[in-house]
Amino acid sequence: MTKKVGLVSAGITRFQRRAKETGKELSYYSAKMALDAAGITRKDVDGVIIGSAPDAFDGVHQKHEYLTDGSGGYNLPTMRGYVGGGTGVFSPIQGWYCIASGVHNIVLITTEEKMSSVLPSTQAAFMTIFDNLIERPLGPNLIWIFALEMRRYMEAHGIPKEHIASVSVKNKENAIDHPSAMLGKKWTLDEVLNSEMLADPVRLLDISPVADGAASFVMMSEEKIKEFGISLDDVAWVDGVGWNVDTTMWTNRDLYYPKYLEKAAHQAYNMAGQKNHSPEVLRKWLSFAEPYDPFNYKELHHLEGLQLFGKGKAPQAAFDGITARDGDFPTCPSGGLLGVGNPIAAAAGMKICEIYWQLTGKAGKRQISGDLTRGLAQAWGDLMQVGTVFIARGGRVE
Amino acid sequence: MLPTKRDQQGVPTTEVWGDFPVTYHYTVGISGEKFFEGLKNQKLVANTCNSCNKTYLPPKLFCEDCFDELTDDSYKEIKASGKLVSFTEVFLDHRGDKLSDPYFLALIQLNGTDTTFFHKLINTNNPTIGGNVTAVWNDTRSGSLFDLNGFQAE
Ligand SMILES: [Zn+2]
Repeated sequence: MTKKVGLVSAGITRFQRRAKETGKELSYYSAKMALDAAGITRKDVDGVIIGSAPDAFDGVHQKHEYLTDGSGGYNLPTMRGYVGGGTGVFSPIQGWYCIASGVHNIVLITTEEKMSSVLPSTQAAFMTIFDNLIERPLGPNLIWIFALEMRRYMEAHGIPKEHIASVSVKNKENAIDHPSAMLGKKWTLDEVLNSEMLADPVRLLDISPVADGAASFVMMSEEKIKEFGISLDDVAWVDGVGWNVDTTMWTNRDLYYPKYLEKAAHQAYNMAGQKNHSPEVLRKWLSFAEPYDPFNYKELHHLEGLQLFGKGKAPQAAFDGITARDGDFPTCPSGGLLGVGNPIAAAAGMKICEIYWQLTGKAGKRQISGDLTRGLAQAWGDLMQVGTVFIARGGRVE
Repeated sequence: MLPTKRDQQGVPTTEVWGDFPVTYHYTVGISGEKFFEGLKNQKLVANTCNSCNKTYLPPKLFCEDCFDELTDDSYKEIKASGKLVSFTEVFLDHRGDKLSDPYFLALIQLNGTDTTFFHKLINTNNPTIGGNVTAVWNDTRSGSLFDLNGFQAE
């Protein structure tokens, strides 16, 4: 029997092109903000999780050790989870199982990325994640291989670029209301469609900006929530978690559909007791979602992998406004990576913060109207083949 | 994901410079030796899992699904032609600087394999998804990925 676990607070720094703070200083600011918001101190914490992507960004090998003090890990059981871009949603999964298993009672989780240190660019560092024998000689970077995936997705379903571009318009506009955002702005569809070509069909406004930043959250067992007298209005219960990895070689699967995510999603829905995984049922059961959107097409691709829309159906829905913040099924109300920014692990951590703030009515100008029951956050990582899924429900939702 | 140039980074910060001062001599491995030896001899070498019949290019020591070891008799030469699965034309380098000569990269499914192969697409301006492509070999070969110049439309 696993213990009931709740998110009780969240904290986040501004996302910036180049922050003045070091990675551990960014971690400290978000961790401290999350502790203060929970009304506890570091002395109350009995486990610490650090989530951060490739060491090559910060330029410090074993950077979990380097980040330990800023993340609150001094003299505590501390560990780092790392599944590339999927990390920021995997870290709270680790937090969940540490408490659900009875090992810890109060866990502080920090996701961090400082991408501006590396020169000449983050893409140069990303090149070292590719197979050193058969891929690196071609000098690949992520924009290029995502261009291959985007084209495959568009070809498979005959998707017009306008539908995909509408996701950039939506998310960048949503981000205007996020205090951490780098790129909140109202763009027109034409501006997105005509922005600079990077790797056909990927253009500048199709993708999210690299950044420095950190995001943190506190999780507690139900007993501790009661003991600290935390109101259920300030709690979001962990409802379901799932994670999965497809083939090691990104070239060895059909890129038109994220199977890695379908499996992770089924795992999370089943854990939450939701046995019907049809899109119509799931979209009613969940109130909103924060799918992973480093590129605009990925939000759509992921909505399909999550079973929230049928294969090839998400682009039209986005274009029709169904996924707008005031639409039938809001996606990325935060502004997503496209609008808030993409400090890898912290960007997915930002999505967990958003789930918490939305479900507890603390999302300010971004608050989705109506009674919210459940929210889902999802991230994607490693070399295109990891899916991580996290579902939470409101503190008073049974 | 956006390639950033240093002068786009804005905020004034105090910095010190440093690096990761290491280089590597990677081993190519059991299956890799057969693959690169094949390239040197103008052959594409794949291998097939006996249990699930999946054919891997490049070959692997083991099937990641069945987890069976793929033994010496699993290796075979395949014909160096296949179908274009996806492609991109690349306009910027890793720094985000414009390339004077944009070029094509592609995913190719070689006939008889269950994987796709990542390489350059050459001698083309207007690639067709699903079209047949064939390997273009380098005249001087040394057992490297560039023993292949790339693939072109048939
Ligand atoms: Zn097999």
